[in-house]
Amino acid sequence: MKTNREKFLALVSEVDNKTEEQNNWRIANRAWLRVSFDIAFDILERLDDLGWTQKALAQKMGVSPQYVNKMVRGSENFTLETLLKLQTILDMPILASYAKEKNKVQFTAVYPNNVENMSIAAESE
Amino acid sequence: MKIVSIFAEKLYACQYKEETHNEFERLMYLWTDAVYLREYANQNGIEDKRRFVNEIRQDAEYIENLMATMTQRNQPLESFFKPLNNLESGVKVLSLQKGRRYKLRIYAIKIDKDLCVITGGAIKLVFKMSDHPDTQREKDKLETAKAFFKRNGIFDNDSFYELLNENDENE
Repeated sequence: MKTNREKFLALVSEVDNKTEEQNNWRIANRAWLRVSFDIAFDILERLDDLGWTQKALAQKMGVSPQYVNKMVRGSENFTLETLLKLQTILDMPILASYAKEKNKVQFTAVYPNNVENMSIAAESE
Repeated sequence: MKIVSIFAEKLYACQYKEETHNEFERLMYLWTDAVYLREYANQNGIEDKRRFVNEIRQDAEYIENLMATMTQRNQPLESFFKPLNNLESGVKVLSLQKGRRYKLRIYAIKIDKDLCVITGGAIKLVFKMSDHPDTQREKDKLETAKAFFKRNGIFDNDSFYELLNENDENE
């Protein structure tokens, strides 16, 4: 008589190595996946604050809505170009350059006649 | 429904007709998906959404590590999966099981020692499974899968021995 294990194994359709591979991949890539997830969450919060849809963001970025949908799920390996675009369009801090740009604007407002020197000073800090 | 072997030929998962992934993969995608988790937090009245989504993601990472370790070190599935019913004792082949990590649950049916089939999983915020539609659905999936195994000749020990006893009495 067949054991429960044998009867069960006869029911199984296939071995799915993809699951284990995917699991190991996620572990190996965890550092950037965490950052990607944090950025995705920030984008979603910002879209809510602005009252924008993902489709509106896609139009402003000149990308497909499908790509935006992928970005906000939290496993997109963003390029610098995309991050800079997001930072500028959403006016939210993602890269360190955001603070530098904001400092420049502040110096411009306070010292309108000495903008260039103050900007250089800010960048060297 | 298909059953696929996902880890070390001892952990299996259901793959339902309407799904593109098996249940373990589907859960891992959901629990690391910022859109899903944020919506879940909104729908369930969670105030600190950022904290909630980060906790779930971290717990999902813990499960990822656990699966990798169990496979590499050939640790028994019983180190993670426990009976769904906390009072269950003794050997029961088609025992309903849960693997837990704080709010996360992975549900499975134990076919034999160190042999389980994942039927689904959920974020569990309530005490009873019937108190939330997500966990109620998972309870139904467990029961459906158990019925499927029984239909295919995989009996639970009790019924099996009961049947043998009935036959003996009739002889």
